[in-house]
Amino acid sequence: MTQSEALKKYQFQPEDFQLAQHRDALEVDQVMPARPAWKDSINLFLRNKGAVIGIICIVIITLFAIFAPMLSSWKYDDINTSIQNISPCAQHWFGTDTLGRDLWVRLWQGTRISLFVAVAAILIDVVIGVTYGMISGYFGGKVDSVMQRIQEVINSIPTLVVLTILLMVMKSNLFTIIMALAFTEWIGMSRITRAQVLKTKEEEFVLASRTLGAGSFFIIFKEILPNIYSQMIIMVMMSIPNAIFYEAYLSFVGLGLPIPEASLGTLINDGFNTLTITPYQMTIPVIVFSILMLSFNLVGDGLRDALDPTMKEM
Amino acid sequence: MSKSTVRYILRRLVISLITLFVILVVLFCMVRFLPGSPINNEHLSDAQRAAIEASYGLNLPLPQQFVKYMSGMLTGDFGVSMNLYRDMQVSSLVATRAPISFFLGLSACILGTLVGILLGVVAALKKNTIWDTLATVLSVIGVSIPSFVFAMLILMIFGTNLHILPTMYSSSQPIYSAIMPIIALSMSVIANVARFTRTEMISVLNSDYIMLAKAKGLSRKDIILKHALRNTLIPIVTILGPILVNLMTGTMVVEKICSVPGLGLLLINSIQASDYNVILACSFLYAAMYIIMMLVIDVSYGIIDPRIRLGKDE
Repeated sequence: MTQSEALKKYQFQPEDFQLAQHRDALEVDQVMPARPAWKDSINLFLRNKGAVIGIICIVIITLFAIFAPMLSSWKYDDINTSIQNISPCAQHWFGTDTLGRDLWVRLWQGTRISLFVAVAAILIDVVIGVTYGMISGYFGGKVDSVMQRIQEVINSIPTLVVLTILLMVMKSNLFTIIMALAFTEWIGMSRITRAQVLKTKEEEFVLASRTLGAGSFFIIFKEILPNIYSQMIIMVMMSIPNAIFYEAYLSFVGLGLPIPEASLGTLINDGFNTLTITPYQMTIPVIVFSILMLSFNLVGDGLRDALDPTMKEM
Repeated sequence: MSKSTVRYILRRLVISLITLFVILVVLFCMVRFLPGSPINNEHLSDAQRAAIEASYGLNLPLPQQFVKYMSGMLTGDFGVSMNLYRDMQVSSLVATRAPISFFLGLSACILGTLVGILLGVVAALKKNTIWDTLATVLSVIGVSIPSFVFAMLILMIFGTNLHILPTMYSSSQPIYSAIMPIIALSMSVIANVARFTRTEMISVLNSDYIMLAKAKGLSRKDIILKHALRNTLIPIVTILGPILVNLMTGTMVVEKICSVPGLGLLLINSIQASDYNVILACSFLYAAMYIIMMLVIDVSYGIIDPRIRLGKDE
């Protein structure tokens, strides 16, 4: 029996065949619309509830810090001995301190100073740190190893010792505190910059740029710098709470802003001295301080996850 | 230990010694430039003041003073206190206070690590449940809020309101009065360790050898205790560095709040009294501890995890 005979005997029924894939299951691959990376980052960031709450808190506190002292009828350094240690009431929302100064105004004035000190110090250390890291990383070789040794020595002195000694020698005021904080915080910044530069400078686009005749200056600012922005933003967000903390620490050690200036640190320190009699004088600044620290940390975490998903969790 | 490891350790030792010397020189010069003199009794005439300064050797030229101080230091003589504890040996002052600070720091570190590991493991095993969320929230709070805030809160709630814990440190009941500062200090340790343990444990639980252990039919208890936990714990050494630095800064402020007569409080008081030798000894001790800690941690990385090649840095 040949094959064709066998085939003739065999009858195909309609049910013998079936669509290999059901029509409904067929799917057209969707081409995602081209979107800039920062839009993705913003979406990722907004999906993080903690970070959004954090940024709302920071905005609210900043607004209060800017406008509350302007709008209040009291002045932050008005001493009035007839209204000492008044508990929070309708006239003095957060009460008054031992010298009769209105604490609502002092609190927001202090927050303003604390935020200003932290932001100013961090901006300065970004400039120093990024420049140092760039030079060290880009030029490499001898320059790099000398700069790294110097940094190693500075880095092995604990921040608290440097801060204490610096502020003991320089008379402590707004400017010296900012300088001292900037001086101690730039190392982290320069380390991250250097690591990123080392990574980026071997990339093909840098090589291409160099082949086209670009100078070092152009490569550093136009090719490498834009690639480390996200790292810088994360670092800044993580450093601000640090600076706020060290400012408070200095007030505790007795090296804070001179009276009658107020900062969160000096307010907490003053309130602590009368803790048993008038607890509200300490509690209120501590709450604002804690919310601020928490918010900056949450936003920092959120930014890290959004901008650099590979760097998740430590 | 391989040859490169030994070379690395030796190199680090040399750098540490140089750094220590630089720190000592800088500290010595800066302390001498401080505004105000340790001999600040208003009843003294200028001639008497000069005589007292001469008796402490403060009238000698700076390099000569430094050589004198250095040679004294090498034989364990850190000079005498000039103001705070008139004419007492600085070495004996430090020797009575340092153990208290060490005790606080070490207990906080041990307590914090144990609780942190427990919290982290629970969070990882019950991933995406209410326990996990709770642990995450707790660790974010612990990371962001500095220990002095916790110290103040505990002092206010358990000290002044509930009268369970003493508000002042008393040397007759060292353990009882250390409870408060230890808990306050351990908060940040708990938070850091818990956060790290959770991520580490989750990645270990997803690894192939855990699947193999499951496939072999080991009980859940055996898998967690014998396989997962052990591999989770090793990397914790890597975060001990930042934790210990945190603790050092923390002890200074917490000692002030809980009035613990430790090294930190001695430094704060001596700064306010511009007591040269005490400031110098305390800050030098802090710097030395910091450097030794960093050295030990860096070296232990290589011993614990041989994949980290110590000799081949940068």
